[in-house]
Amino acid sequence: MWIQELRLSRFRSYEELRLEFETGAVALLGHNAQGKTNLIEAIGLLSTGISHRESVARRMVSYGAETAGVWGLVSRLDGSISLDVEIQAGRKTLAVNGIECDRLDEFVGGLNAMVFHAGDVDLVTGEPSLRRRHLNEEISKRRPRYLSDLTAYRRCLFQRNSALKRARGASRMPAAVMAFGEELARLGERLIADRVAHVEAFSEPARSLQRRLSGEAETLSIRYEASATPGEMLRALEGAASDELERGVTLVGPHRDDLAITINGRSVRRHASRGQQKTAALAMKLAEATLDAQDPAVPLLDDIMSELDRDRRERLGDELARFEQYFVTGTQKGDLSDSVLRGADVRWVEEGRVRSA
Amino acid sequence: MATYPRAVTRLIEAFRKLPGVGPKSAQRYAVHVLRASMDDARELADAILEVKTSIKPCKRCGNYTDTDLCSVCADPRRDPRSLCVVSYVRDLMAIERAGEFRGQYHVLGGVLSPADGIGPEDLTVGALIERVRDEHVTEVILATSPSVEGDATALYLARLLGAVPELEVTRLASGLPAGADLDYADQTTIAAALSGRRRLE
Repeated sequence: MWIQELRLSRFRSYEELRLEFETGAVALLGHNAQGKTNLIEAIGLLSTGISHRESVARRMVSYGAETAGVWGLVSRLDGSISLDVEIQAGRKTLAVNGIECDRLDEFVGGLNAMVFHAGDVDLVTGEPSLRRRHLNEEISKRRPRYLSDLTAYRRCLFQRNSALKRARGASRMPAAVMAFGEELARLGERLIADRVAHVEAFSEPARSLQRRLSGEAETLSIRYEASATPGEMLRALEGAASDELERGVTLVGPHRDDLAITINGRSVRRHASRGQQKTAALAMKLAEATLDAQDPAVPLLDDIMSELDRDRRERLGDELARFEQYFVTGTQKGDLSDSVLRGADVRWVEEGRVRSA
Repeated sequence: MATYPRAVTRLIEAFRKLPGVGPKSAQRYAVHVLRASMDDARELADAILEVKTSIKPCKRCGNYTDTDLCSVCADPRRDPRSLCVVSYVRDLMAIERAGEFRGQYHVLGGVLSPADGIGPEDLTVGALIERVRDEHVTEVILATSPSVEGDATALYLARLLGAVPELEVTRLASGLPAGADLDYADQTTIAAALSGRRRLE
């Protein structure tokens, strides 16, 4: 899919803006604090209904204005659709083809865009909770049922932990804890199965990406580390019973799981260089962006290229060419690669204005 | 600043304790009572007092009644061997409105919710087990809501009742609302209906 047209109205640093695009690379260049990331944010907003860097909707409205709007026309395999986000009095209104959506999940999915930014490296180096959150977001985009299972799982976990806290120090598991444990296992196994399937789907493309980006030097392996295999979670809970009674919290389940990420068999978190880590995060997310093979996502790379060495940068450009359209930002042409700049639609961003090069 | 006389604020405060009633609504109700006829006001007060003095839980099932046994338990045409377990009386009423069920009920008085400090001992679980044993019950239908707490409560009871020989324990099905268009159903409901699908006989 690709973005045909983007209009902003009183969004961040932009007064009124109307941009038309073609397929292929779109390079947004400009000095710092000129509004490049605001454009990336606006496109991301059309994709998920949520900003990737701002949780307070009101702050996306231009200073002094009441209402902000982002509108986009997206060309998809199955036809064109328009997406509309309006922010007024701190509230967001979402619409698809002019029809207002009652729920977020009716809006999400129209445009599948994926934001890449400098903080992504935390996906491979940071806490396990970051990786779980990423998986939750990515799977929810594709399977709405996953989100309702996740909500129910968290509720059930809260109930079971409350019961465990009360039973702390007891010698046997009270029947009420066991009832919530059964429910937890039923929901948890569904989450684990969805996560395993998702990771299996993108780990092979991610491995090929890392190989190519590194010039065939690095083998990336991403595996879901489940605290219990499907059908075994209830037994795993029983096995942890005495520890759980001692500590008063649930110790088994998808809320404790993680991804095992290695390059050439060694932990990325502990043994890889910064460049390898950045490449791994990029390979992982790019692989996820290609999951919908029929109509791949639109990658939005915000200041990513300048962080890679020249060779990786060139190869990344070759990989991006597989997408129908993608956006990259940088402060100057030298931040990008020849492979990207060849045939790219270059726009200069300056003080809330965008002009073609 | 002028305020209402004490008797009026007392009434407003009383209305505010009702579920879903905020300060504005409470004030509207109180003013309505002030302007109502003496007969209507007395009827309201009497109705409130009567319900509190004459209504009690049914000895057998927990339904509301003004005699020892509620109208369902006292009805000889209702099959005492089939027992439908609900959380609240309002759920019992909902099932009664459907007019399909010809057995009897057992009202738990809530669902398991450890976060709110509600365990099995706060529900009428013991009485349920006694009834199943003493009244030759052959079927128990667990009709708690399909929420996390409702499902866990049903699982808890199913495990407890699993020890009773020759007792059939079932759970209410969850799925698509009857008479509605499929495309109006939310994804969770559709997913539940898909996983609970059955063969057409």
